[in-house]
Amino acid sequence: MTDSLCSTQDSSWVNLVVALAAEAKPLQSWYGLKRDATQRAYPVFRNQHIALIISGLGKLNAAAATGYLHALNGSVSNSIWLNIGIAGHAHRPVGTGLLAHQVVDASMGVTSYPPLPFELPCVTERVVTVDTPDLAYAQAGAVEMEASGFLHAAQRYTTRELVQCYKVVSDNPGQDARQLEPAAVSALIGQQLSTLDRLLQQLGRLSNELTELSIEPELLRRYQQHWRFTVTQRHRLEALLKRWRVLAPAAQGWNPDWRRIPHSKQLLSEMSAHLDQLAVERA
Amino acid sequence: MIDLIYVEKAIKAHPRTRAILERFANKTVIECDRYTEIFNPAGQNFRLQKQRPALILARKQEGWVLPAPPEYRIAAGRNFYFSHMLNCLYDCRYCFLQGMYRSANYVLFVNYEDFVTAIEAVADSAATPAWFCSGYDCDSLALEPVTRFAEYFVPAFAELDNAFLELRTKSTQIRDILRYAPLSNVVTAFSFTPDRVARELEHRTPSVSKRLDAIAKLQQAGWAVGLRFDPLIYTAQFRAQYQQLFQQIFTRLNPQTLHSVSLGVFRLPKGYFRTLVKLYPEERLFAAPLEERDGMISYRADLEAEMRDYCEQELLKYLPRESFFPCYPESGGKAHAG
Repeated sequence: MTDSLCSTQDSSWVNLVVALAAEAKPLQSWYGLKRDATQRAYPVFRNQHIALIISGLGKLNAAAATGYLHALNGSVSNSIWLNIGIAGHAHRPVGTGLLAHQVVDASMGVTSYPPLPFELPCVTERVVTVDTPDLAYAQAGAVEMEASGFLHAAQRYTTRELVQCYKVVSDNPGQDARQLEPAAVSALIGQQLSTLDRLLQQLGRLSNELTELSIEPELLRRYQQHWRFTVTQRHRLEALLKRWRVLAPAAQGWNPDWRRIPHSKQLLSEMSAHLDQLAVERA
Repeated sequence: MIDLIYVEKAIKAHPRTRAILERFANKTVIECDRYTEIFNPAGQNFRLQKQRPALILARKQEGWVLPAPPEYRIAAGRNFYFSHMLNCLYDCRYCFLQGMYRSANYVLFVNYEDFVTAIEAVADSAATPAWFCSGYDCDSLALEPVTRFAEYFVPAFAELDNAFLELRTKSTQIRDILRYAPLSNVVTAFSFTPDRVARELEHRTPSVSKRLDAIAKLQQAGWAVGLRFDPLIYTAQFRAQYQQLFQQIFTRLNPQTLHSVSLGVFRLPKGYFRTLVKLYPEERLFAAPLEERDGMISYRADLEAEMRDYCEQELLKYLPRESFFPCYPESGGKAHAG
């Protein structure tokens, strides 16, 4: 993994979905991703912060692989999802990197607009997902085969701002897609690594901002060691701990005296009353 | 900073769209069928989008003018509101828009002509004067250099006999108003909270003193001005803070020439409040002594009454009672945008 990514990605989890092994290769090397030998359904590569899956061609494969990777990683909060791949374009030069501002599923007629509330690291473009290779270059925008399937699946797992599609122009009317060799595909993706780094830094910043709002898992575990909470009670506990953090950060969300309280229901009630009192005192 | 502009295909050729796009000539423009494709999908995060909102240019297709909620009424009789824009340049933490909308992008409805036609129809539908408030779903003037909202609507109201316009704002963008001769049926109402509260909660807004400068200019030019202390924000020092605020304001402005002054309490529908707490759990305002009453979240009743009574009493030291309008809904009230 590059230093720049290390410095900004400290707590966020990145999922990369690519269609081809040739697209994955430069990413594996750049981010130091190692093959997960336990996975047989799809090739999966990972390091401490990033997982990459090779989906195979097409939107259904992309959606299925995205779901598989999500299931594999468990529900990591605020994770980043990025689809990277090559695309054809009617007029853009080969090697141009494009961030999708609109993803159109050509066969379904469905259009999505990934929100882009960050400093854009490159130009943005309409991306059209087709079911079969399209060498007519009649569509406006970048034409490829995975983005809509990926987007549809990944947007279920994290907030939309953290789900993006990045495409590199690999062919146009002047450069035939049928002549593309795997090495050329790898080279095209390889040329985009610094832009991808910048994009992941932006997304990492957004992801970290959300993660920092959560209650530390260690603190929650401490409570769960002493009391048993239903799911609803756990949500209530988290809300109270957040309020407590605002009103009395120094207390660090823990009062040893409360260990005398036998039941979670009573604990939450006393906690709530304590915070109401604090709220008036510290307004 | 606006980097992306979405444009509905239907209003791509509208002169107002063209003028705005010219202003943002080097920005990315993305065509869409309806603004709702970008604005409405679930699973968006308002907080993240607020960092870099996009501008969406759209056409309002219906519902140009709506009856005003009870706490938003400024006069007896007929009160309405209209929203040429959804969302606000500013980032006031108490604002209900954060809880109501899934997206923080700015939606600007460019078909001002349709709004004015609807306003005319409503105004003409009865003999009693009708008030039309702008600034419920946005700040009326904050984005004036882009929207040219006042530039269009102020002269439009010059032609309306039976209609009054309230522009609700925290902005100092008054240049487009000052270009015209003052109209007796247009009031610019400025919202205030005490300086310290404004610094903590009203991000990106002009300071209290800059707002006062803008008011003074409008008054000097003969325009009617209103003051809105809405929502009242509780702190342990609220008495001193509001006393100082009123003193600061009425040292600068002549209370006798003010069109109207109103007070409003902090009140949010429970669902919106929950969304706000999820978005901004670190916000002190939401950890305050609040309670639920009839589906609304507001300050504890005793604190609310204490604030209300104190501020009312203080204001009446400066103001004639006839220009004071308390806005205390029994239910249904919300902290508005402007």
